[in-house]
Amino acid sequence: MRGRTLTRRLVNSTLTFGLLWFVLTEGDWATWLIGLPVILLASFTFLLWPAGRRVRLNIIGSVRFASVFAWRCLIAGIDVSRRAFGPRGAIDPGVMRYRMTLPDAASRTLLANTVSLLPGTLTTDIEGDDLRLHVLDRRADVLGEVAAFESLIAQLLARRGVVEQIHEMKGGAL
Amino acid sequence: MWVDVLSGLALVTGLAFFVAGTVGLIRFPDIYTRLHALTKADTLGLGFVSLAIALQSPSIFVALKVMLVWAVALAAGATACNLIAQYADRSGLRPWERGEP
Repeated sequence: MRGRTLTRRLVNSTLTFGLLWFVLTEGDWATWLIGLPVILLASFTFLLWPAGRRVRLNIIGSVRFASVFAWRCLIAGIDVSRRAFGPRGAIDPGVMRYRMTLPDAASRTLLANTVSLLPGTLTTDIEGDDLRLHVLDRRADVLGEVAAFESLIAQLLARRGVVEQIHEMKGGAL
Repeated sequence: MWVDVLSGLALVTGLAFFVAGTVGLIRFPDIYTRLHALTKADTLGLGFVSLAIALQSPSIFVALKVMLVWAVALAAGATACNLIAQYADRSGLRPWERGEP
């Protein structure tokens, strides 16, 4: 089992680094003379990194996450720009907490980073199961948006059961 | 021709977001609100500038490289923002609230 995990990680990282090399060298195959040893070395180094919980990207989940995220990033930029030029009353900042349903460190880190690029929210810390947030406007429904992204990330990383759990817990409030 | 128009529009939009981010950095009252402005507006601005450059690039590889740069900047920007906010929070810097000078 452990051997299989190791092989899978080696294959995945070699393919990823290979693709990266291919793009960076603009598809020039002559560079693979140096590239191949470098790719293998990088993959080997990657294996020294402790394996976390298995990440299995869901295709539909990826497309959905990427498109909603891109859209909300655009809204976030427009929103903060508007407030930057507006009067001081355009902001009503404060601190909020959000109880996370996502179970593992990798998906929680992704959520924490994503939240900082969404409209009006910024992660300041992770305290146990809680996300500590700084919000630009307390009047906006920021917790609903974080819950929506938690559900999107659960779909993206194929965390079974989490999506249902989020809807069960926060469905009424959304 | 239409590519030039499109990339020109993207470039101007990107620069507008950079200006807005800088205005926010100057005008917002505390470290947290300033981080909001920089992280969101500048990331989006860089996204539009990257798009403009990608549209003008001579090959698909250059376009991919530029978008790769943006993806890395996106991840680095969000991470740096979280680290600064966490440090400020743990140092006991209280967020500015409405009604304060």
